[in-house]
Amino acid sequence: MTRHLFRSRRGRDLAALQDPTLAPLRDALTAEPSAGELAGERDALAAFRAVSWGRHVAPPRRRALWRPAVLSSVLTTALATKVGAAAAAGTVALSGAAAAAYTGNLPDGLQDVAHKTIKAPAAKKGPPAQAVGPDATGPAAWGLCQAFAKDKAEQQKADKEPGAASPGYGRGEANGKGSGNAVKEDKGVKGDKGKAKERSVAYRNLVRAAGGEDEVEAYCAAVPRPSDEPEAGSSKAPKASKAPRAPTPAASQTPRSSRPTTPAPVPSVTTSAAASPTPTATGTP
Amino acid sequence: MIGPSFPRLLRAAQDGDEAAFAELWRDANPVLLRYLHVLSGPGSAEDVASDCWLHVVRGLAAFRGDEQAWRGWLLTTARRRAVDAGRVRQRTPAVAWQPGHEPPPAPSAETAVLTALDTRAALELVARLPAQQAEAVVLRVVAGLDPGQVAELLGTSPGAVRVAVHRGLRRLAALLEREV
Repeated sequence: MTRHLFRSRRGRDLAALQDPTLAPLRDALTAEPSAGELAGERDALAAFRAVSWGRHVAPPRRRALWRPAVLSSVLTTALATKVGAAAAAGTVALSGAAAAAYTGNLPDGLQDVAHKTIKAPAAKKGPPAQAVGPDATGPAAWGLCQAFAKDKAEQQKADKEPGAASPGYGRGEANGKGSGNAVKEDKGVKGDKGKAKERSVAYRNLVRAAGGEDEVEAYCAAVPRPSDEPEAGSSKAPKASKAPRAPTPAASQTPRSSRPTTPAPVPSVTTSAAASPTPTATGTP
Repeated sequence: MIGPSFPRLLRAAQDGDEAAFAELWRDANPVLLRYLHVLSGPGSAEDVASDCWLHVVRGLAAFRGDEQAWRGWLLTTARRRAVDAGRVRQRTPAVAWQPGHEPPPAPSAETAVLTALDTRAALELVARLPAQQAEAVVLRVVAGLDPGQVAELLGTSPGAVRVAVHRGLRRLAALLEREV
């Protein structure tokens, strides 16, 4: 650290540092880090892990989620496709939007809506310890039923053609990166689709809503198709990386991605612009 | 400072790479603690630094800039956390430092062995400067910020920063000379 620091330390105001009297002071101020100064690394890494978990597992979405139709569309399309597997395994991949809701990462207003519609937590307190899963009695029912029907069809197909790969509720575990609570829950059941399905929170919710495993089909038959949902069941699961970008606050030159985490993520000092990367024009003389 | 590998480390950390973040942390945390030692006092520095890192971690993905800007952001965040938490060191009036007054005798441990001045003792010495000089000295000497960055951070002009640093260093030299 020392050598680099000295290299950057130029300027008339620092000329006095050459004074031999100040040498001990300068050396002490720029000494190599002590063990005590590095003692907090574990905590810092834990914080880092917690935050990047949320960021990478629940990519941001900027759709108009407050419209129930869109919300259910998101759920439906997500569930009806391969993403549905991971989604059914828990909160995580339900779609970026829902996951953001569950981790309390939507803007306040949206979080409220999410709280009411899909029972996401009301407060922004980080990822939930326990997967909540979609509410199979609410707007998510249609999507869950779609996923159920698709899964059943796949199962029948797979039974007829042994060896065929079958996406389903348990699929999420194959996705090594971005595994969250829900996926961990299914750890160790690779290849055992049925069990994964039974363990998935979403599936359990659906069974509970239906009043039993055998009632699911009947229950689903009664679930109304969302009226203004033109593309229900289509396989256009939105990719998180294609989410529209939002301007990054402060310090940005090229916003790379929008994020759901904190409202004011960047360097900012309320009154001054000190936060932004300082152009070298203001540098040392 | 990290140097040429900084952009790679930053990008990796922004992509969730823990080892890369750890490197950034190890490089910057001692600087934060030294600055906060002067700004908030030794009793609060660690708490404020942890709080600062929580904010930094949350804003990390959105950060853009080079290593100099990174340093500036960290220290800005640290200062803001300290101020928001009311953890800014109460200072004794600088009257004893006016010309004609004897500077207050520094505790012997601080300056007894000038050839091997302890980092904490050095920081305590700096902390005896008037607030703006103390901060300016640490931000320039320890953190390596340029006068423009320090000026933005302290809400003053680069010229005022240079003057504060220059005067602060001269006072420190005078104090140390007296102690010899």
